[in-house]
Amino acid sequence: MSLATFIPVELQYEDGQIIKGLQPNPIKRHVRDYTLASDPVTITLAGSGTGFVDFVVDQQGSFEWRSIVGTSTGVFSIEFLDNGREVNLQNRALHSNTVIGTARRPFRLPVPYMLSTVGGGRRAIRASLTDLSTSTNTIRLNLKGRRWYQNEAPPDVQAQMQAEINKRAAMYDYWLTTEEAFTLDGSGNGQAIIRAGHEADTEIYKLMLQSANPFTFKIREESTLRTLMSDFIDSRNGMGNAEFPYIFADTYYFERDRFLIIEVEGGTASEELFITMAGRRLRYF
Amino acid sequence: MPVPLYVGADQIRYIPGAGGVPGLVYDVQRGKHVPHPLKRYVKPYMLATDPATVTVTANTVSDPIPLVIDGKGHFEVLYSMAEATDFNFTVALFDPEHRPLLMNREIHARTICSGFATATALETFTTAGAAGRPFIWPEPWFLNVEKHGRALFATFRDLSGSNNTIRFSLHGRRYYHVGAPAGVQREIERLYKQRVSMPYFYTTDREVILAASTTTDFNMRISDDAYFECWKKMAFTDQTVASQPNNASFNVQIFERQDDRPLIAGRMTRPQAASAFSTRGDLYFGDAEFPYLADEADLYDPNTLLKFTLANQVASENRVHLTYAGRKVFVPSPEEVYDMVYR
Repeated sequence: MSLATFIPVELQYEDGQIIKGLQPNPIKRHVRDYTLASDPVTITLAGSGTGFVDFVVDQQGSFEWRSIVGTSTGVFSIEFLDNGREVNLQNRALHSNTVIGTARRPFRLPVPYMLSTVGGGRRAIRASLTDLSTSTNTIRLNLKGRRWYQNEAPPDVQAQMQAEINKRAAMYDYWLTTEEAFTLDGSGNGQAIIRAGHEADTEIYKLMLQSANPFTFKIREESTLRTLMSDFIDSRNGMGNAEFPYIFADTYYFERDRFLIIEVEGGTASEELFITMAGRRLRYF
Repeated sequence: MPVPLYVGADQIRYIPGAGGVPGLVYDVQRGKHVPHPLKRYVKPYMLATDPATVTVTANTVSDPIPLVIDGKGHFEVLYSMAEATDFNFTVALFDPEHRPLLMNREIHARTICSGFATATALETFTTAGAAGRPFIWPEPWFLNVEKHGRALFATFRDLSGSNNTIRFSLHGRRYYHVGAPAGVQREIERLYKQRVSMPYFYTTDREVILAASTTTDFNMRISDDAYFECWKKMAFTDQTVASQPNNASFNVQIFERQDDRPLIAGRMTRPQAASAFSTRGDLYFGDAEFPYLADEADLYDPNTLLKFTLANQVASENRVHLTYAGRKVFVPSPEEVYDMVYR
């Protein structure tokens, strides 16, 4: 949500009159919709090759990362690493069609990810890329969000901004995918595991899929044997993509060290499925 | 004795732009839900041009086409849509005195009207479902028929090179204040009198025509009469890149000139080369059916200058139409209020 544009003010004049009015929110002037391009701006991977790009936030201000957009000449996998916090933002590489959108339909992070530069220094996110198209692949990625120019603001405004930035820096986004590559058998059936990891609990908001053909699926909690659906659901009704993710009616609380079992039926023989869950880690920095 | 309008005033009061008028409200005095008193006099409405279809000769501008509102009630614009033989045309809106309204220059239809077939990187959409993807104005526009008159005018400029038959419509709500009870009339009057903002669409100060494979700068100046808050960013270009969505044929870098601040950047050094850390058009702009929704609605001071550096990525002339959709806000400062009241 955008910051409030105007705030109410009261002025008392010498004659005792109190005038109420509005003034522009002083923080607003120092916050901008921002696009953070990668360094290098584009990268070309050889077929099945690997590479990386960095997103560097300099000392001019903090960056509140809110969505991902990108283009490429082929599909690829991606892994994000927050260098500052030394945190991987996923358990395994993610398919580009499950996390990369465009300006028309950006992939919006479940919660904004604040790359704070309060106190000085720079922050960086590294994206490691692997081509999946087996052909030369030129990739351009942008992170979009808000730039908080706290350093240029007057002292009282700066203090307000720093408080806001620190408040927003508490959580971080996290993606989960299957523990290993998931390929259906000769009958178009299969079973995969998504493990929560032991660092923290995860709150899942969205479910995305990359597959060429539909199938039916059921998700079961290993620890309780409870399923998230009464019967098999068509993938077109339960999994979206980066542009149109499936958003759970209520977030799923995925406790640490637990895992989910995804059973698939009626798919296409030997097809590889890329399933991605997007959420936030419930861990405080 | 008439039912008082304000019953549990906070529950019953309708906030413009915050969704539709609720059908039921909770009457705290009677302890039950009752129909919202405003609902009987507020209806959805679609305002078409007169005539409903307009044929524009190839590469020409139409005469001003009226959109006539009868005197029965005010009209609040929320969406805009069109249908055309070729959706390559521009729109400009004028008031009855033929003064430009709501835009600094004519705006491309694909940036403010739904109704064309579009595509994202992963999905393709036909016109069949376009009504489900209306271009929603960032700020509703309240047309007081008693103050603004009962017609506004639109002109259309064909860019397709062929005769173009266009249907254009504004969608919103009618407030049938005439004949409504006094309490309802007061409430409707309160709705439009409290307005301090209006929708506005900015495009570049001059037409953007990029020669083959060249980079050129263009300005967008925010007028000096009000703040401007930008919510949505759209673009259309008549050149395409194979297998890529529209707007992939140009790169863009944007500077906010007053602060010499780039709005697209990576590892930043000053001064920054125009081509450094720019982004591609389809990663920054959407279209009318899928506009880019800014993560922060940038608030620009009056008279702000934005500089767009556009780099043509195709080896042919490329016309790019950029539109920033938002609202102008006219807010007197306390000092101005004091001057108005006491001096």
